[in-house]
Amino acid sequence: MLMRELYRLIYLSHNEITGNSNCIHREIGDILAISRKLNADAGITGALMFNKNCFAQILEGAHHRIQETFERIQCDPRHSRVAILDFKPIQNRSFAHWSMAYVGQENLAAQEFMQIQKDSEFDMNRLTGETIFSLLRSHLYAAEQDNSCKV
Amino acid sequence: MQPVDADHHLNVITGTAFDLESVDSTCGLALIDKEAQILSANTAFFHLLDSSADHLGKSVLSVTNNIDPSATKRLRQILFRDQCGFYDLTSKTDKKVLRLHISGFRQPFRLLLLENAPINKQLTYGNGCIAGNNSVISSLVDKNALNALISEWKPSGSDDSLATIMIGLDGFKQVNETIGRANASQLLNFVAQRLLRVSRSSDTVAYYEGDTFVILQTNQAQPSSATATAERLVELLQRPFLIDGQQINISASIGLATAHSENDTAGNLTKHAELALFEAKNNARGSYQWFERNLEKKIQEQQELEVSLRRALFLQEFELFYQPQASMQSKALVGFEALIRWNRPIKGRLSPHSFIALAENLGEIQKIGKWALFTACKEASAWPGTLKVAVNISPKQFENGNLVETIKAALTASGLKPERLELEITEGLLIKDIQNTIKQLWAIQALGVSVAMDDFGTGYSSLNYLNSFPFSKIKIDQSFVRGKQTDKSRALVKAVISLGLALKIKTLAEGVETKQQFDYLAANGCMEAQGYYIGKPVPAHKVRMFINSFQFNSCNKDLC
Ligand SMILES: Cc1cc2nc3c(=O)[nH]c(=O)nc-3n(C[C@H](O)[C@H](O)[C@H](O)COP(=O)(O)O)c2cc1C
Repeated sequence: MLMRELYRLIYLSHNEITGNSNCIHREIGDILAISRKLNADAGITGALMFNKNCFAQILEGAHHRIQETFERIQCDPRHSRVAILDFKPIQNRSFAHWSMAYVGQENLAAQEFMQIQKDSEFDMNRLTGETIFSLLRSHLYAAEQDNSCKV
Repeated sequence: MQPVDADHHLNVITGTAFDLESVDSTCGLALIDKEAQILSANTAFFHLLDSSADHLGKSVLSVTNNIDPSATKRLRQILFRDQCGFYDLTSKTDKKVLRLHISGFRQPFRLLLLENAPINKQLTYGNGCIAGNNSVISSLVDKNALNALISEWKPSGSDDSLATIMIGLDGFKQVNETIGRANASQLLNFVAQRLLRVSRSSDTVAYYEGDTFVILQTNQAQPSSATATAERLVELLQRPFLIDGQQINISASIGLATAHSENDTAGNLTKHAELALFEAKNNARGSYQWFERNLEKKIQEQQELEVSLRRALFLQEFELFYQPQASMQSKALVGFEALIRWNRPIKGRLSPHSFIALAENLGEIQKIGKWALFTACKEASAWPGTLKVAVNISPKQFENGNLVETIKAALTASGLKPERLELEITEGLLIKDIQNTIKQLWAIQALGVSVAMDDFGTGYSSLNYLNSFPFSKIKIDQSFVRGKQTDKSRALVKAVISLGLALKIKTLAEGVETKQQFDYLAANGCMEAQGYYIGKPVPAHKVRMFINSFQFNSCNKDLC
């Protein structure tokens, strides 16, 4: 029963990718490529946001699929100090169109994210899953409307 | 699964030419020559190894290398050094584990037998399909295979070493109880998977037992490599797990040991890692610890202590000391608490806190407790007047159900009046099987013996307990009385005293060392006191002297 139920996971982590922006772009490109492939296979949708310091990610899907995917993500040395903000059952997907949408450093949302982090003095405990969720959702939907989503 | 006797198969088969091709079995069978070339094999053999009969005449290593390249070196050692045994091959693609049994060398060939590695019997896996990952543990090398690998290990060069990284989950038992068995076994599987993800292909990941895993490292620079792995693992296993709709946090402690020569190895290596793990858990959760020689010494001392404790009673090494208790109002002596001492030959005198817990673990406490009761009653029966003797009773003594009989017998043997005997029990006693305990307490009271509650304020005590049985006395723990007083400790002492007054239970303060403490407690209504201010514990033969001089002292000095 539980394994078929739809869940949403929201977490933050610290970036461990070093090097110049080319390196970082390449790594993130790799992450997105593999994520989109594996997530599509596992029926997972969601969004990933990145800025220099942090990742924020939302995963939606069947409970056991999120478990498996998250276990893989957890072991990835490209990030650390994973903090789960939210893990709960949901009625409907909010990112149904994206096997993994991406909001990069240059994006407005990411800049806003940066500002939110500053406001919360980089204290992850003060960031809520709700904040991340609405930020990502509103920006992705707006981008879709503009048809200018640079994913 | 039946153990497979490869030698037996060999005997059967060698009589029937070398043709294994037609042997229909779920096990793979192959005959190889001295150079490890496959002379004959059945279909299952090639099938299990994801290869085909094209490999006939080729080296068996080229076939195994296909699915588990990391095994090649080790297999070569076994095959060319004329060892026998088995080796678990882990498929690099789907992580399935195959066990390859290698028979002893019988000229001019040896038999190989291949089967799916046995499922580890120690765990059952919930409903088997929660996250599709539930068989990770069964794909790991088990404890027997691990021991076999360790004892077969031979250094391939002067700087080769074998490192054992033993990983134990902290507080897993509690987690198990909280989240349930099925979820807990899923958690173990996730842990196993994390271990596989971070280990090198040349590492061996084994499921040791319970909540313990082992990673074997060969051919790495030690201790740096294993230390780095331990650091990584401690961090990685602290990261949250998602189980049953919740986030679960655990931590792991790690014990490390290495062997550099064959002589080091055998059973020692895992034992050393176990000791180191034990020490790591003692130090702090989520830490790692390398094995050191002094750990061995520590454990050895512990074992010596156990052995000598087991025979201490027989050798009459125990002795009771008696510490006086006085009334705060009349300032007269009211009795003594019997305190056990162990006079260990050579090592000297030990006080109860250094051996009672061990005696409880060893199950020796029943006998020691009985001895203390008999001795205290006998010695107290020689004291004048109505002076009482208080004897400590361990919770364990309530477990075998004959405590009441023992008390009766001690009273009869000594002729001590029951009113002069008081038992001291700790709050902790009342946590387990409260009904049975209370029943025995009533039976003890029916004998005319009184029961005091010891160490009040230190345990999980619920005030309820005070209501469930007519205790004769509450003993306020010395940690609230002695040393520096804080507002909190003062408030607590006052509260306990008023509680005693309200429930009409006597209160006794332990650890009273100074006149100020005595006066403060007396002013607040505490009734009795025990501590250096009244007197230190004295051996039995000095009790009478103490009683006499105490009367003298108290009238002339401090107490009056
Ligand atoms: C911040 C971050 C987010 C990731 N998100 C996903 C994801 O959504 N889905 C996914 O399959 N892998 C994701 N990955 C990649 C995984 O960590 C992993 O590399 C990948 O799943 C391949 O797994 P494997 O190396 O165990 O085969 C992410 C990695 C990082 C660092």
